[in-house]
Amino acid sequence: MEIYLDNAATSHKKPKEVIEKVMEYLKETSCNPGRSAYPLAVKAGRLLFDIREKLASFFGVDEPTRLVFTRNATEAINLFLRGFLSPGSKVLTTSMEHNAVMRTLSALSEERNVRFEKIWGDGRGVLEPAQFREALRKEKYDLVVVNHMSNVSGTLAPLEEICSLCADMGVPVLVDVAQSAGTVLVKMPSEGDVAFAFTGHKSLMAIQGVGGLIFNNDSLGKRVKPLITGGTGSLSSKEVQPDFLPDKLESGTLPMPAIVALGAAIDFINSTGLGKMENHKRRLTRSLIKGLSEIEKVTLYGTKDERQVGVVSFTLKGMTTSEAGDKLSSAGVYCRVGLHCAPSAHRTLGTYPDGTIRFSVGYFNTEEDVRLAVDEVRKIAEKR
Amino acid sequence: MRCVKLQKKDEFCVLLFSSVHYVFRAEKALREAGIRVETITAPRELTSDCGVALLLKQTDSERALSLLKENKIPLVSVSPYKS
Ligand SMILES: Cc1ncc(COP(=O)(O)O)c(C=O)c1O
Repeated sequence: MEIYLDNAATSHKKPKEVIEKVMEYLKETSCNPGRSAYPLAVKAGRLLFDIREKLASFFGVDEPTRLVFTRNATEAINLFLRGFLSPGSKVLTTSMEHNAVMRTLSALSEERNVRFEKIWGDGRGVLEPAQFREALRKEKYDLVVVNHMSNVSGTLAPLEEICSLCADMGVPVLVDVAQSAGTVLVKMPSEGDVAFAFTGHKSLMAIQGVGGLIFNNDSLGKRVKPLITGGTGSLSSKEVQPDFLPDKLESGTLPMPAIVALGAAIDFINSTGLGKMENHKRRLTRSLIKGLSEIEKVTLYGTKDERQVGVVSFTLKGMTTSEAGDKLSSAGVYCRVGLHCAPSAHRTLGTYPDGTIRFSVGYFNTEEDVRLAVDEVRKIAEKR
Repeated sequence: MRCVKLQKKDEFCVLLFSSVHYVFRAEKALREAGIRVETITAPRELTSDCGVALLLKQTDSERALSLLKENKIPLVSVSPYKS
């Protein structure tokens, strides 16, 4: 038996349409886009353009040049934070952030004296708009950084309210949509200054190697300095970096196979229906919560309602999470245990330092997977 | 999308853009409007900022320019094509 419940780490399996498109690209195109005018290069260039357009539109952005490809969400977050924050900048963030945000802010606080404060979620990982309102009233911040969906508890942040508050106060927002993109509808607000950092290989169902940053307006993108500089295929006669998007922030050869996979994955999501996929994951999440809550030794974390999607974290009384992880793995249930690169989120839930056992479902999981996984947890709990 | 080869006997012009994103966006917009365009290597003498350019018939250029304007696609220059 092999049941994969680690989709918050990366989605598994990938849709066959994604794999086929990558194979086709490697066999038939496999060429650098946009640098030359021979047919293969033009084909690759057109492909890249179409995928950029499709992806921007997936996030509700009608200007594809506002989408910059990176290697993953971590790089997109680094690009934004390092390219946007100046010495002494003040940042408001939350206790639910991933280390992609926390470590970058910590490094910037050393390097540039960037100061940051955290809004703490409640014991279920819930953040209230009122907390943001109060914090933004008390202090002038240069940026708000918020994780849309916790990779620890699956809790969704009230994104619309936060973005609208920040727009009113004139504070730019960076949203980490690594977990939420492809799980729930992630629409770019039109008001204010907002950037989304996404990754292709999780719920968006592409392969590893591509992520990106997308802006809701050009002037926000213009305020971000590049993380790396180099060849872009544009302005080749000049030895300074172009100042227009996406070229300014997108130097070097792009990971075309991963980008092609992401294009095919967006097609897969659009044709399957994001709503249908979300409902499926919500049903599995409810079944997991119900099944696990019937086991006496299990403690569940999170809201256990519609604010929690895809991710179910729990602990087993009398057993460390690592021990539970090994037992589950031996039984063929694959999940991630520990701190999930988000120590503050575990402090919020009261599960620091041992962390939790995290089951995270994907579109290809079934009710049968959930039933079998819950059975294994029950067996492990009852053997004690 | 197949690229239709333009006929040699026609008079052509070259559209230059600052970035390939605009080249492909223009190509798409013009083709959708039924204008035949070909993607070519930007001619050396036109000192393009990006390596590719669009070739189209002189007689289509006026309509093409207004379509680019309509679609807010910035153009660097329009020049006659010397083959
Ligand atoms: C909330 C969150 N942010 C950022 C990341 C980083 O994603 P990636 O490893 O693809 O850069 C992850 C995944 O590990 C995550 O769960």
